[in-house]
Amino acid sequence: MKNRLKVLRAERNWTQADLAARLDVSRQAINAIETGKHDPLLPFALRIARQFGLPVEAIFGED
Amino acid sequence: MAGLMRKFYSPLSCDLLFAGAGLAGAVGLVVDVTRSYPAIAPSAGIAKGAALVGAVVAAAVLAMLTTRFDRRHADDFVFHTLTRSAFTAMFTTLFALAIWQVAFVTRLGGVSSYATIGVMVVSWSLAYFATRLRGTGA
Repeated sequence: MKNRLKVLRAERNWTQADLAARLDVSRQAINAIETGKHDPLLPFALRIARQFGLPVEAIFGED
Repeated sequence: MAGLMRKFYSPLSCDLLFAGAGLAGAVGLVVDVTRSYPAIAPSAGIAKGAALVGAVVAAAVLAMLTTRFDRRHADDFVFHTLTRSAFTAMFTTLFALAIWQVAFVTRLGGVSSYATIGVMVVSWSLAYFATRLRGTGA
């Protein structure tokens, strides 16, 4: 699934480790989502959206 | 406690755990593949069957509880990796043993229970690293 995680993260000058710490997950989890290797489950996707203050659809989209 | 759980369920910890288990399983298969359990007592039939069913039910309950524990403490990515690789490992084990039955059993003999466990452990280790590298997506 496509996502704008990397772009949104860069806009806020956050590293992957920064975002991982904010979401209480591993840095590898953030990297896996950004590289398309992992699609988060809905609860986690909602937490990501809440972190960025955006709707889920603004971050994740279909291929 | 929370910090300890986070470290235990970190991707690096899982990598080390599966690498160690896979290596131990592979070494065990190579070194001690001929070990087998004692022969089944002929009169144990129904009692053994009932005990086996009970053991499977108890193991299933334990597996469900540990899965819930994993879900609570592992992050999304780690949990997905573990479950997807376990699913793949289950079929890898079945296929490996089926292939053995078809192609090797007459020449090399059957696979003991110990060896079957070794096959499962190595299968899960391989599946874990394949999932880790390829990701949890389709």
